[in-house]
Amino acid sequence: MNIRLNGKDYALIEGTATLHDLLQQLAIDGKIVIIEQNRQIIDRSRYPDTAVQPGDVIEIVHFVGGG
Amino acid sequence: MLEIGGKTFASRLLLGTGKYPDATTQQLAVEASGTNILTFSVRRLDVFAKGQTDPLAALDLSRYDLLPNTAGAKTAEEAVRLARLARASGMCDMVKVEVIGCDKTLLPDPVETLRASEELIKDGFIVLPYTSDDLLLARRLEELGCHAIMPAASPIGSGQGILNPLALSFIIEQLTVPVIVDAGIGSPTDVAYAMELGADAVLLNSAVAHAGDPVKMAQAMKLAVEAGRLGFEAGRIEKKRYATASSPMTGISRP
Repeated sequence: MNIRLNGKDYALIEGTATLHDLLQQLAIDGKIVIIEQNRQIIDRSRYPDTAVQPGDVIEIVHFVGGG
Repeated sequence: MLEIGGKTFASRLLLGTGKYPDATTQQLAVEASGTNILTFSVRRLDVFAKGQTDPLAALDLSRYDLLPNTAGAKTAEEAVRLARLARASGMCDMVKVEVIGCDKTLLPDPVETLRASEELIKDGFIVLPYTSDDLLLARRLEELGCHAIMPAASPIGSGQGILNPLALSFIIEQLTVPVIVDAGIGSPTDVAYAMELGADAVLLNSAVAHAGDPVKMAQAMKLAVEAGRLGFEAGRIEKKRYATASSPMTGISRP
């Protein structure tokens, strides 16, 4: 199953069903990130029950230094 | 005390978190600045690079109010999206509206800045737009309900200091909300000057991050903010064309 992740095609491994699973697959589940799925910002509390669908366009952003 | 959108801050220095030589220097500089408000940007996480270090990890973010910016936005829609993404972190409800209209000068697009600010105010944000030093634009932003106005001293990162003190002082005199001089600051002189003009606060980044010794410069900026503010509150003397003696002109002893 392929999604579009931060501008690139990305293949989900078997068992990655939710946004929470996706963060675990990417090994970034400890960081403060914000996820947008198909242009909708997803509340952090809903990551475990938000399904990832084939063809989803997902943006994962975070804070970086800036002025 | 500086008051923005119902929050009060002891420090009148807002500090950016970009472009420090390393995380330790940044952490020490932030500490030395005495700031209460740190600015950030929102960017894609590089999800494909493993084991990357987080440049902000050394900072205890719980000790500061976070002011994410919308840098990177060229339209109101892009700015609103970045602001909402930042707020979804659950760490902030303030936003620095920054909509750049020209890549070479990094000057803000006034029309898009107004549109973005209006939308974000409706959406409940505490809105601090980065703007030019145009008085009428600043007044329009205040009328919209912006919680502070942040006119530039000179182009972002240029270190040219305050190019038009008259324009800044018009804004400072006429606005009711806090005026935070943002962008273009180069040295403690510029900071003290802004504060002496009556600015409520100063926001800077490069002037500290790119200084020879960022930690020492952060402390210098802290002192400059305090000196300038005290000078403003004290009320400076009038400028006169000719000298006025400080010592008594009578009773001079001559043998």
